[in-house]
Amino acid sequence: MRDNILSTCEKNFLLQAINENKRLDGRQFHECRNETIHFGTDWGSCLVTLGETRVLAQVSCDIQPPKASKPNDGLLYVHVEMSPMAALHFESGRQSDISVQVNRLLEKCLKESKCVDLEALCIVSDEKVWNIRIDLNVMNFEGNLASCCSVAALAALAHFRHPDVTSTGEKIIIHPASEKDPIPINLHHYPVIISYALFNNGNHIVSDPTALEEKVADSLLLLSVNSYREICGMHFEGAPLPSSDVVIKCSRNAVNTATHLVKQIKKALSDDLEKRSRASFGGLSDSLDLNHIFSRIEENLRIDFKRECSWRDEPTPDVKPDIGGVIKMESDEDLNLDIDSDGISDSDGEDSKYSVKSVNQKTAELISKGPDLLDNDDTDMSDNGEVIEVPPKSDAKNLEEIELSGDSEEEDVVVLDSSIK
Amino acid sequence: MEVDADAEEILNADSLKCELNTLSRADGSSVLCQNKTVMAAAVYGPVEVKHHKMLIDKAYIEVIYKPKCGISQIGDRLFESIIGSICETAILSSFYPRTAIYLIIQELQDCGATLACSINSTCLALIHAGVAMNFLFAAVTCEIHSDQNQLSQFQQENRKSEITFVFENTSDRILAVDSYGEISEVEYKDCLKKCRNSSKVIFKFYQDMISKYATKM
Repeated sequence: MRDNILSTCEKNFLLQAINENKRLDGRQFHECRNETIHFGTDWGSCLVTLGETRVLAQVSCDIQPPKASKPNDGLLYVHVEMSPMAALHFESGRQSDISVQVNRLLEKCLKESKCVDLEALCIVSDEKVWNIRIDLNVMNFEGNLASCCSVAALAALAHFRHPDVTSTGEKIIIHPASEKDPIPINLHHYPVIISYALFNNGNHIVSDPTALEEKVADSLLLLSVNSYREICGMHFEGAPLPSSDVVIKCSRNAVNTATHLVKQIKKALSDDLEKRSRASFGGLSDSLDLNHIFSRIEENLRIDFKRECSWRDEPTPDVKPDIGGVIKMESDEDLNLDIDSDGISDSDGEDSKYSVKSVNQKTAELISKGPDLLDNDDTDMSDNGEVIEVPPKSDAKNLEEIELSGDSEEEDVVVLDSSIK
Repeated sequence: MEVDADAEEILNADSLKCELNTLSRADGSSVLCQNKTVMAAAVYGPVEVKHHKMLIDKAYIEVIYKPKCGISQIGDRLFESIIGSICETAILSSFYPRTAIYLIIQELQDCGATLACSINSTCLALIHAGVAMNFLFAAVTCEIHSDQNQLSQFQQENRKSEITFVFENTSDRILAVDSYGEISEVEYKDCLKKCRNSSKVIFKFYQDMISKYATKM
């Protein structure tokens, strides 16, 4: 099956939103999605989610002869597998452009920045060295794959332990974990990839882009930065930049993000070590959230009905940043939401008969509170939101009401300037 | 559905954990944890089918099993063919002619009984995707230990043989059997009886998941 084609209206909508300093998922331009890091029962197994992008990493090792050019160095091999689970257009077992690109980026980030102490992986010079293999299985693809993969690879490398070896001149003894404690890999520094999507000649810089933003962006800038605020790799693709300021601006931001991510990795590692000592340790099974049936798919939906300029005037917008929900709508002379219905035209404030409720990803409910108002078929939403009618006695506890004012009696068309996560 | 007390001899209901709708792109997805083994399954379908794979009277069903490290080996291919044949009987494929249904299973954590866990997670993903099915299916693995005829689901050192049964929920028939090692007829019958009892635990679990999920919808 082929990948979904990017439609022109989707593209224009996103660009328009970017021009109004908004993102479709309601994030600020510099805001990254939440990351979670979970470790499995095996050493070097790690599941990382960045927003809805999910990557499973597993590090394994075996003994191999070293390269003739570097007889004292261990080997490091990175393999990114784009599983059809992530998106159906990735074929299993076949390399695609994106998997080759991410593979190369990770090699740049991990191998060429020399973050792994490869000399410590040597067993017998020129004969036997440890070969460390990192397998990355992409389980869900929602943009910023390189960043998610680099966090997963780094966390798995830091978590991994290879068996201890003693060399008795002629023989090599590999000790099982019961005899001698396995040895962790020595990491000199912790580099992670941070990516940016650039729009309008670099005037709008968006960090941690989603799959859609990556497709629409003029150019993409990927920086691999370590926790010592050093840049260890850079990749730029797309339209050329008019000035180098953008790169400097991005790298300033990237060091902060990288420090945050590395801190999260280290915290997850120490948490895991603590959990391992407990008898009930279940590895990845502990990461399952039983009470939250919709799992990681985020249910947030933020709608900002105000014009961009109007919320600049007021420094405290009604948007609550952490919860998805309903935002007070202000309708001045420029109505962003006009509803084709006679009934609600003059409802001011509390008596509004419609409220918008977030349901889950890509879905919005427009709830009519009065039973007499079910004729909202003509409601046209400019994104892929859905309009659902809900019985009037719905639980509207978390709903704020929409203020509607102005003379929308004359209005015909509804335009919902919505940003949907 | 009533579950007998002895049904939990092999499989404890508390050892089952599941999440549905874990992936945003797939039509149906689940992560199932059975004891400490964790498997993820995703279902795409019915979707467009490649021309040379198209069947005019039913859906083309493909199963892909992904190990967590390395490329898939011959054992993984065997898993694919077992799960594929189970799904072909379970899915009402004649409802979806000229389409394809893809099932992708990803190993997340292996602590024994991986086949049973992947079959069960596949069933949950199919339920979540809303694919029409003849019946639901559940797999139970039991091990026979060398010292005595003791059965369990955990991977243990002194096991003599291992057997996996797959049951359907309408008339309790066996859909598939996969075994490893030496098993006598008496042992086989004993295992069958105990596994059949334990499959009720899983069907009950499916029911709980659906009712939990359906109220959310």
